[in-house]
Amino acid sequence: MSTPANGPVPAVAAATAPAAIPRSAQRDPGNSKLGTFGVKSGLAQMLKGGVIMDVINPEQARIAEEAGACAVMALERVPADIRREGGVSRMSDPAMIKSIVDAVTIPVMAKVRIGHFVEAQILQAIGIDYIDESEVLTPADEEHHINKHNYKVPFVCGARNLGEALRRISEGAAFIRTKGEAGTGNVVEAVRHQRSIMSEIRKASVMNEEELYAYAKEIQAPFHLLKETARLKRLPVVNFAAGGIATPGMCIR
Amino acid sequence: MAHVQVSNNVTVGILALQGAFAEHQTALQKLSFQEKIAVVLVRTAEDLSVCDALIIPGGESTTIALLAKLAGLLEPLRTFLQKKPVWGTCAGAILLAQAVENTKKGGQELLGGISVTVVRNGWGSQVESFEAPLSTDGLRDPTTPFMGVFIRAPVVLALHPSTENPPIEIIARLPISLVPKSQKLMVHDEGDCGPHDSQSIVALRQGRHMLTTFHPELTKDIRFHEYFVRTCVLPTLV
Repeated sequence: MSTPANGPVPAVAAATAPAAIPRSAQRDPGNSKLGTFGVKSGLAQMLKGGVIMDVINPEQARIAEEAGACAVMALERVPADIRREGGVSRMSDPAMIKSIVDAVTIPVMAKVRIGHFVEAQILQAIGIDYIDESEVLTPADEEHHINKHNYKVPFVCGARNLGEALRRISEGAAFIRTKGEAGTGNVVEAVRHQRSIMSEIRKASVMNEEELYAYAKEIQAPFHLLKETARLKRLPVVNFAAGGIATPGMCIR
Repeated sequence: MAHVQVSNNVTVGILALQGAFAEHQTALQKLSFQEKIAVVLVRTAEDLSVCDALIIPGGESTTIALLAKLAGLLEPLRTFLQKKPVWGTCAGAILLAQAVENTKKGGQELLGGISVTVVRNGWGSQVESFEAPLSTDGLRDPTTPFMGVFIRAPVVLALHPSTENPPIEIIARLPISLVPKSQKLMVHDEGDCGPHDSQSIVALRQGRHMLTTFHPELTKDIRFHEYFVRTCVLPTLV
């Protein structure tokens, strides 16, 4: 459904796509490097074993911080409300996101629509800590995801299976979460997606190279990432469970 | 590797409440000393009681402190710090500091142990996170720079040397030209030692305790783990 297109890029997309940040602009004088994949996936590693809470204002963000959340997701409405009301849902108001950034010391994440690279540029300019390119919002592009390598800010993306997870990583995601069914309070979808990813990884881990080539084609995943996943016996980036998780009893450790 | 002639095993604990403890475990398992290093993931006071030394990993300092409090670990950890070596990376360094600025509203629990003041997220948000080669003193192979990974890292604002405490040794600095210019830190620039002097310190040792504001566990380079075991842990076992 969301495979990267192989054919020529439509002219309109080429004209509006953000220019890659020049290498020189990413570098400080000397040779310290900002926004490397190491620091992007590294922040996800620091979040492990923690809980990321959806919050809609600074007061909720403070409650989450006091309760031990390792990060907060700044949203205009929680997914349950977005689902109920329908309509088009977009990136949250930058002023609201900034008020949450000012209120807490833990990392603040925010969501952008799938494929909406300008929303992502805005969040990067605000100095958000992580961007969720999220299926909870209305997609802005039916086929293409954001080229996440072009940003200094790291991205987390949802996935339902191994192929989808590896496609997102190849686009630059430094962190994967299961999709689940946001806002339902029903954990079954998150469990299904997590089970599916783990079972596909276990299957790949016993394959030889010839089988991996065929399997990469079957699940539409880049071969080198599939091979690395098979070797590690886990995704090459941190994976969180999300979607329909509503009570502490549902947290998977 | 014949620095210390002890044959008993060394047990190094890693505080495993939240954060990047698995990475420290992998790094410790790669170390080879004459002594076997047993690694324990510490979640309770009982786990802590079998350890000869402890590593507090990176993560969120507020989360780790709260979980330690709920697990009844704060007092056992403070007692442990009086007697045994502890190394804190990033969030762990914050917990080991004597004083911290930019805490969450209302302050946060610290363990103390190293006489320094640090500021959380001193270089800014994740967008300002960076990697930089560090000049080190005391590590093996000192001519090879150590790649420091700084993720929303704390910054050392001031050292508080005193005669009661062991002297503070500086193990690694950011080259002055690579110290990021941060708006947040401008106010602190008027020290006696000149601007950016303490801010360039990224790894230091005071007696048995060590702190690094970056993440050696995110690299394949295990020289800091080797240094901690060799200079902080093994001498305490004799």
